[in-house]
Amino acid sequence: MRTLLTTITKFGNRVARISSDEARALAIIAASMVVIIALVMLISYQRGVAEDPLRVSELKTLRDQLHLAPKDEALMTRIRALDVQQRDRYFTRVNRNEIGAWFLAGGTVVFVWAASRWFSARKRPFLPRALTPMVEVNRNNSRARYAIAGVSGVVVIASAIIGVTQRVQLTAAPKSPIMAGAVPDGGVTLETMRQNWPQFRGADAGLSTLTNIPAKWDIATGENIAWKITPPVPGVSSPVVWSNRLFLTAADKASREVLCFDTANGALLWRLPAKLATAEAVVKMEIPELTGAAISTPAADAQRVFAIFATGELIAADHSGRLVWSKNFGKPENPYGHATSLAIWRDKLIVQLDQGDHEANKSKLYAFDVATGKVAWEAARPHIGASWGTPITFNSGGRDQLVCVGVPDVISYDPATGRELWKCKGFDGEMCPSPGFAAGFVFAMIPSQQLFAIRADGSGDVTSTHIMWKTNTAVPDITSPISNGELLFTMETYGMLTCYDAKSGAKVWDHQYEGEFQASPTIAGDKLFLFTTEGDGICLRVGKKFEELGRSKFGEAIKATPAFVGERMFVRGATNLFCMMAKGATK
Amino acid sequence: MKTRDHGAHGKHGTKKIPCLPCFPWFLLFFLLTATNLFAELKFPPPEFESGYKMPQTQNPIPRSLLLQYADVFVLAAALGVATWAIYKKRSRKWVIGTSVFSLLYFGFYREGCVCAIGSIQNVSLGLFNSSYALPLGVIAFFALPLVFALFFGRTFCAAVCPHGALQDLVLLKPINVPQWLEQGLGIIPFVYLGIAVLFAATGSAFIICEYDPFIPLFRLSGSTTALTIGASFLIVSVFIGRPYCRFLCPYGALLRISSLFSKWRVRITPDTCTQCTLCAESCPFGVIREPAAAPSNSRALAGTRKRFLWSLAVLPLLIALSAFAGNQFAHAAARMHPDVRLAEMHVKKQSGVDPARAPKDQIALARAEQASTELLARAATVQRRIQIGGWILGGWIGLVVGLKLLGVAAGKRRVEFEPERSGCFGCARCFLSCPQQRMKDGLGPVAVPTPIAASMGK
Repeated sequence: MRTLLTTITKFGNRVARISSDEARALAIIAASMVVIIALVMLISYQRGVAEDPLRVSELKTLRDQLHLAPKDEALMTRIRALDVQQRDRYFTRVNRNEIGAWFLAGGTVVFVWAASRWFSARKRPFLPRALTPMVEVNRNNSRARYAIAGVSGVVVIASAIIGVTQRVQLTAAPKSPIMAGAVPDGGVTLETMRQNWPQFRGADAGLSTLTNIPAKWDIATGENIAWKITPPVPGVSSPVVWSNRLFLTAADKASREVLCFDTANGALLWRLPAKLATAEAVVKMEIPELTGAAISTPAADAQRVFAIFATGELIAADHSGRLVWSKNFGKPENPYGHATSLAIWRDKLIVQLDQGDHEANKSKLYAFDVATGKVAWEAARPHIGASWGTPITFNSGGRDQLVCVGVPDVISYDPATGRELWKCKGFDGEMCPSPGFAAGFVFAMIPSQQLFAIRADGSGDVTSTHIMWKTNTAVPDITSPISNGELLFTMETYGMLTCYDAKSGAKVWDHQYEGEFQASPTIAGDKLFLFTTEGDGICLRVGKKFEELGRSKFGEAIKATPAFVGERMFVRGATNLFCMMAKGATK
Repeated sequence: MKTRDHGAHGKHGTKKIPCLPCFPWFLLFFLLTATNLFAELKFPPPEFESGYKMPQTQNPIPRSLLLQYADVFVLAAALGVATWAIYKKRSRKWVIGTSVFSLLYFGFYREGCVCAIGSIQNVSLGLFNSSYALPLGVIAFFALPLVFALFFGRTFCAAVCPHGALQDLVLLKPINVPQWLEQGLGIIPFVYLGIAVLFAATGSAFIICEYDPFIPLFRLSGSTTALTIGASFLIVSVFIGRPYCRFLCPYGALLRISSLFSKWRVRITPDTCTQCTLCAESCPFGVIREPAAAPSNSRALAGTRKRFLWSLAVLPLLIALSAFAGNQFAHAAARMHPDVRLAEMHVKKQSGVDPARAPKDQIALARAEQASTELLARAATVQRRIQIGGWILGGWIGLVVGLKLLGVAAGKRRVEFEPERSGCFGCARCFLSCPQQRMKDGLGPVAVPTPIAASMGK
């Protein structure tokens, strides 16, 4: 012990006697060491940032997949292994850096100590000097005045500039072009939506302004038929059209696909199989043959097409058939698989993912960025069970609204944020019909039981305040209502067509048809189109009196709702895809 | 006994100052904060499937009342010791000792909170918001140093403020800032003080705490930016004495005003000033002023009087101009208040300009938009208050600038070397340089290091 103390004392004395040259040499060595360690740590830090475990794409991808297939044991094992590996690397790096920091600190201490000794040894003592001459004092005062003026001038001018250029605006500016019509990157506007047919039942919930769609056609003779083709894979979803591209989803036991056709001649331009995240998602999914996996209607914008399948895969492809992004929601808790169609609003793709029973609280509403697939917003739909109706978007009373039917609530959301605007309670049954909208009313129904007209200008719970009329006669259970703002039509599955006054709910007329109707009625101009599963196409005049304009045969079941673009009507049958166009039409 | 100089603090003495070699150890603490750079790479908590529930995150439990009073007691005691060390003991060694204690206690143990500098904001908020409960401890931290300054000058800065202590202890190779530049930059603390009070009083933000360069070092934690700024200030402090205290500290601005009226002031020499000029050279903060006589002739007197009157005449104009600029600034500064920020985001969104936001902002906006009418009304009220505050802020800045100009124009008569009352930190360096003090302490003249002496002989 004594030897140790002696050694320490000797070392202390030696350090205390360090010469100026020795101090300088020590300072240089220590400074070099500090610089080297600092550089190493900086590089390590940069690498650490680059290898941020939160940004490891593989781990992120796997976790996304697990979110959609939560019981995939193999996936879990891979995630755990990767997670442990990442954590291990991270903490190893942290430990290494901590040790580095100690060395850095030690080196710095030595440097500062040695440098201070060196400086003090070289320090010249202060010597008495003459007092500052008055001229110099005055010059300094003058400079001080300029300095004060300069600094305060900079402060004042900078404050004024900041105030003028960065002024807070708490009053709304005029609507920007994005709201007015133009969309910067992809997406749709109401105008472009109306020029095309980008989603199930088009831009206006089944209403088209086209007036020259033929009332009759003949498959055998080709009268008013532009073309007819047979898609390679079947499906029951409805066609959507953007410009000269028609998109279908199709599925059989082996695959789920997006098909793209040329609207001019029906030529199949490309087909894109839906990519599966895991094989398990398909194996466990039992899709009823009646509906198949291609039941949801796709959506499209100027650059992309979006498709969702009963098995829970959502894909986005460009118009040339290249996959842009994809997601997998996993196996939907829904007896028919996922069946709700996609909706599109500006640059957002709306996915209503209702599933499970009421208590499961699994239903959600998503808005994805059309270009990237990133979630723009998501809204929980608490106490809403599985449903199949497709959401609609519209603007009413200055508010953009996204209305989703469900059990037990019909809810309106702000499509920009997902914020709930209003809800109407008390709905029940297998919610298959989609809502309709016209004349400020949302038309929603309890399938086979009651039809409600709900005023769309409410807030909060509007159940007791905004139901303007309701009826319980001949209420559909599959098809969706259609209105031109004056009249409302409902098509009951087993043939009862009813016309109401849209504003009062008074029945104007009804007519009982023979046959089964699953395709929703649509209006083009002054024509109402109906299709039966027996292969009949019926055209009526939209009016206060029943007047049938034409009836044609397809020869195969029609369950899909038609699309209207240009001067054409596109109808998907059980086997074929038809394009109707009046003689002499050019578009 | 053979003695050695020890850097800046021992250069004039033949006695060894044992504290000096410990300075580098402070750097050790600060450099260790570099490890916190890596704290940004934390993992999110694991997602347990075994049923384990993560403990809920909660706010730190407030410091007990007893300990808060203990802090106030320590503050008062430290102020007392520092004052005694400067005025009675006249010992740099004691000042350093107190600084070390304050740095460890208020800096590293109390992690820079509560501190007198930040307390400005609490007091401002408490004065303008009746619902804000101002703790007694905070009031004491705000008032005690100011009260001491009214009697003894800036003894708080000398050895009690951890920010000042830290900068002072690492000052190794001081570079003088020209006096005219010092005068110009000396406005900034008053501007900062005004802005900080405006934001605090309107409930917008506590910017002094948010942008304090030394708190991250005391806490050994902080964002990369904050640590980098702190380290930069430290490096600058090695060459320029107390840059934060001189050119930024808002509480220093208050202490300047308070110490202008101090009953007692630091006197460099214990006896008669021989005007040897050595003390002026020893001050790393450039606050020691030379003796100055009244203007010797009527022409010089007329010039001084003219400058003073001109400065006095432009004072109202300066105040008006600055007040206008302050009001303009407030139009943008209102954004610092969360309600105004949310309201602005809401309005932009309504106008169709809806830029991407951080998730937390999205959540905050969504919540606020639940009642957008109330939000807009609230924001408009806050905006009005901040705009009124902007007028006052601008007026304050104009007043400070005007008074500074008046001070320069008026000058001051002195018969001996003395530290400027408002600027002197009471660091006690100048005592060691005064031959009278050295004689009184029984010390010899300043030792000249051998290599320098050799070169001087050539």
